[in-house]
Amino acid sequence: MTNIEAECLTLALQGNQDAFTQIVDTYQNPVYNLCYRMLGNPQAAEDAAQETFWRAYSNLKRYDPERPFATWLLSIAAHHCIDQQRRKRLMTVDLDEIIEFSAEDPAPNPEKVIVESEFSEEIQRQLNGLNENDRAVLILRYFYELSEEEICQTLQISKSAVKSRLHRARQHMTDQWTTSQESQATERRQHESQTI
Amino acid sequence: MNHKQFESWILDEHKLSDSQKADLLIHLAACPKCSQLDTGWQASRKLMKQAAAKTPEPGFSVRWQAFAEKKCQMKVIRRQRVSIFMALVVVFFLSLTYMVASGSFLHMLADIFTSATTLLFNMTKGLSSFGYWIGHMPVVVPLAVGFIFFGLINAFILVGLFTLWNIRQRKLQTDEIKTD
Ligand SMILES: [Zn+2]
Repeated sequence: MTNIEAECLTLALQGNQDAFTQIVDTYQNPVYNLCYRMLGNPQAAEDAAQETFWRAYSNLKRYDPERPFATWLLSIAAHHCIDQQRRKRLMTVDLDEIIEFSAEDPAPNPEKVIVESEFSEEIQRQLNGLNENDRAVLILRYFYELSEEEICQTLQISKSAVKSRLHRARQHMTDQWTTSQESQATERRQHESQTI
Repeated sequence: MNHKQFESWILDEHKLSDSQKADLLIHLAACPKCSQLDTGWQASRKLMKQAAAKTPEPGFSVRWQAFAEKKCQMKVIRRQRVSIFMALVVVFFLSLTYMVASGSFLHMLADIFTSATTLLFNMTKGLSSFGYWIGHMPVVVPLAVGFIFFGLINAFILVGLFTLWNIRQRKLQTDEIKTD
């Protein structure tokens, strides 16, 4: 954390909302990305990220300065997203949401972005099939490169839980990849037989 | 060595010794299942590394400020509701205490009825004395003063109506926040 951020944090602790807005500006990308990877939809990610910063702002007094601020924020975001996913799973599927989900993200034109976005969408499809707890652990490990110890602290779970969730998540991602490779191969074969 | 052990080496990212690495390589060459697992996991991992980080639409912090503003307003509304609820609880318990102290529910009902009729009676009495007082005022009030007097009454009514309308608007706005 830079000196300016520390200063903003001190001011925000005194109730200065503008100072906290500076912090929102600084950490918006990692928080949003985590929410997006957890929820898989831009609108839900935006709402969850906004809520994360609000919760952080209202509970700023509980922040332990010994811990990295980013990890604290990610911890709030991950817990909120896990809750959201759990609630969504319990509710019946909302048709509007399915329509919104399939119509998401009109891709901007540059080719590089398209390739990156293909990876991004492919990985999102694989992530969407994971349960919320395993998903959070996998995202923190591979998108944020947190160690197993840091994940324990962030999600407040035991090390053995982190290990078993990671194992399950990796197995799931591998299975998903294999399935997508197989379906791509089938599509290619069908395409080739059609052209012949 | 059993198949499970290699699966764990592949998926759990153990730090392997050189001899373990050699064992794994030999097994991968012989076992298609583990080989597929290894290829799949390496590819997935690469995909996660290559996936671009998602960023919010521009103006996120400005939207957050508006969001925080709404949350603050909701907090105030919630606090007001709690106060009203507490007041109702106090009234309820006071009336309950009164009911118990006065001995019967019918007594309390009768007391309330008496108080209400007394209040109504006093109000009509007050109004009729006011009418009496107006009727006995000197008749020499000029017409212009009369116009000013009625003008003032009209102005008061208009201000009252406007305030009511304003309160209603505010209530509608807070309801919008609530349903957002
Ligand atoms: Zn094997």
